[in-house]
Amino acid sequence: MSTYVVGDIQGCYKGLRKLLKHVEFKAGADQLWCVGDLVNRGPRSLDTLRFLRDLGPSCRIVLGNHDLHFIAKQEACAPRRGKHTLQKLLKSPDAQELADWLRTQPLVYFDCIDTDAGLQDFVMLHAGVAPQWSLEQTLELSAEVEIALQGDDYRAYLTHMYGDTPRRWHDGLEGLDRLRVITNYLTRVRYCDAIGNMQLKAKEGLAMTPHGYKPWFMYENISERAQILFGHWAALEGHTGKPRVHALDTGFVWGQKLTALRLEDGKRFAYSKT
Amino acid sequence: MKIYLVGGAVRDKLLGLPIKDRDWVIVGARQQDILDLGYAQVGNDFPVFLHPETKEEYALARTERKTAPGHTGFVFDANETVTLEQDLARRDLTINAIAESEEGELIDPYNGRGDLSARILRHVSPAFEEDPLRVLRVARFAARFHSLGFRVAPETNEIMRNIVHSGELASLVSERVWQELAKALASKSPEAFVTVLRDCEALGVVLPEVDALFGVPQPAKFHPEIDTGIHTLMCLQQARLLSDDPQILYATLVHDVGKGATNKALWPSHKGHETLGLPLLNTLAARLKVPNDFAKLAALVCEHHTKLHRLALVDADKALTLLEAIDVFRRPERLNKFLLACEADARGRTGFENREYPQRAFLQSLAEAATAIDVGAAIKEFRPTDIGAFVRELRLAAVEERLLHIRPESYHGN
Repeated sequence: MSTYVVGDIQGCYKGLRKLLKHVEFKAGADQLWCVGDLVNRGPRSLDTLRFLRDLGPSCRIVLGNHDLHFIAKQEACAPRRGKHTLQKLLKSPDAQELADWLRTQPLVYFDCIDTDAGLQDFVMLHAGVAPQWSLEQTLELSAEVEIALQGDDYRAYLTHMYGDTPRRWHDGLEGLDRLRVITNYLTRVRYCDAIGNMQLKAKEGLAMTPHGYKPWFMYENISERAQILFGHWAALEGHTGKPRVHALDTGFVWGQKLTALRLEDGKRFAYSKT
Repeated sequence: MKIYLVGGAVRDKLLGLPIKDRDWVIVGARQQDILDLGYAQVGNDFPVFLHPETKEEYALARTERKTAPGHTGFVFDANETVTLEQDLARRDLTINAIAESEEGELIDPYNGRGDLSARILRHVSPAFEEDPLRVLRVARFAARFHSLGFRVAPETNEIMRNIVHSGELASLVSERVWQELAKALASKSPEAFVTVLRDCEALGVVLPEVDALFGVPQPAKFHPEIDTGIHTLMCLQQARLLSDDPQILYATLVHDVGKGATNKALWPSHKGHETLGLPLLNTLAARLKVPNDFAKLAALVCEHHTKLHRLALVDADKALTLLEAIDVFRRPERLNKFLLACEADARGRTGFENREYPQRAFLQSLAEAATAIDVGAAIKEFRPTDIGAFVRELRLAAVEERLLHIRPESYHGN
């Protein structure tokens, strides 16, 4: 039995199936973990979601910003802006069912795996964390968002999760601002400064790091406790420079490759069209 | 005993200007007579008294005799036989040598009224030549009254030139020169101070660094006025329209002194004039005992003005480095002074006088972002080991963030 963590799928259903075939993934025996952004941008978001949902307990996912955006679209809570390739998914008869299924998924997933190097803790999230957060606090804050997403008033959350402010975490945050900041760290952050102010405009790789900012994983304080698995940032091309922080988005939707990391032996697999 | 209003008060009254200080002259009295009336003497060897109620200055009519070189080499004679005309004769300019009696009658033996209406700054007597400070005072009057049309009389310019050639001007103590310069800079037309000094060849003695700029060409594309000295005068005019802060005006006056030290073979280019100017400013500051605040602002403007013009600050690190040099975090007031001097430089060019200067708002915005951080709270929360590096990183991030939100307009630099 193996655990494969794949990067951002983004509706690239065919690529996902090819990669799984390549690693000889066996539903029921193996586990597939997804770092989020299952949908949008790519051509087959609908097939991707149906496939992952049907994997049942063989699949663990965390929500990415595009997944949240799909839920908000489905619930008519999203602002009218930006291009998306969710039309087919939104028009499908099981769109509501898929959105409801996503709405029950976490933003952070934590598990212990029996690897070749012994028992190892892993924490999976889509984008990043604030500099101040411990592993426990990260899980608690993720749960706050999940409770909002699954509660009666989830539309208020979906409506107000958009926006870049407040720019940083502090313990005194309350209400929708608090949820928005948690969501932005977990699903959108790439760069932040020494006190956690998020720089949500820059998307480039490390060579283009904006002045005064660093990648969020240069400030994080949880990888000593658990190895971090994340996606969201294709420009990193899979590299963080930190052995316990694993970047898995390798830009398949941009014509690069789709990566899977096998947790048991740390081996990376990749599929690309070329 | 008769009392007359004299000097600036009479002059300003005749010009229809507001009167600031009233000076009075007392004729036909002895020192003791004045003290008996309850006046308080100011100083010991100088016959000046304060009125018991108005506290205005009253002086016994006096004559002066030159006994030694320099501004202080005089002895006074203030006995009761000295006449009003004798007292007026020792004054510098005819427009300052008019008296008014208590009955309102004007006593004007040197035709000061004629020169007032003809707008002429003319010396009263050949004794003018005995006091070198008068060269600076006439230049300062020119700076004050230039906008009313006043010009220095050719014969007065001649006598000022004689003083310069005699070497007496160089004998003035630096504090006096600085005092006159600082006052002139805050006057209505500071550029006239420079022009008048230059006309009598005093500029090369008082401010050789500025004198050296006349005749130095600049690229016509950026400087249609071409001559660096003319540019400096235009900058002073523009600076004075923006502010009457003598620090800003001093920084404007000397911002381009480096252009007097660039390689002639490379003219009209002045690449590197910003750094070439710094040692010249140090020499100037030491010679005139320029106060630190003035010298520091002048050095900042000299070194960095072209960076702001060219907006070479779209790089957050460079922008923050400049803000640190200005010390905007401890001296927030200095930023605006720096910006106004830079704006005066940009506008002090033929055809650019009314040009917008978006760089001002641009750097202000970056400074606002960098200073908005609650450094104390952040240090408390994160307890960084290297506080200096931590704080700089935060400020850098704040400037970077702001840069992403503002797009400076395009602009022709120099």
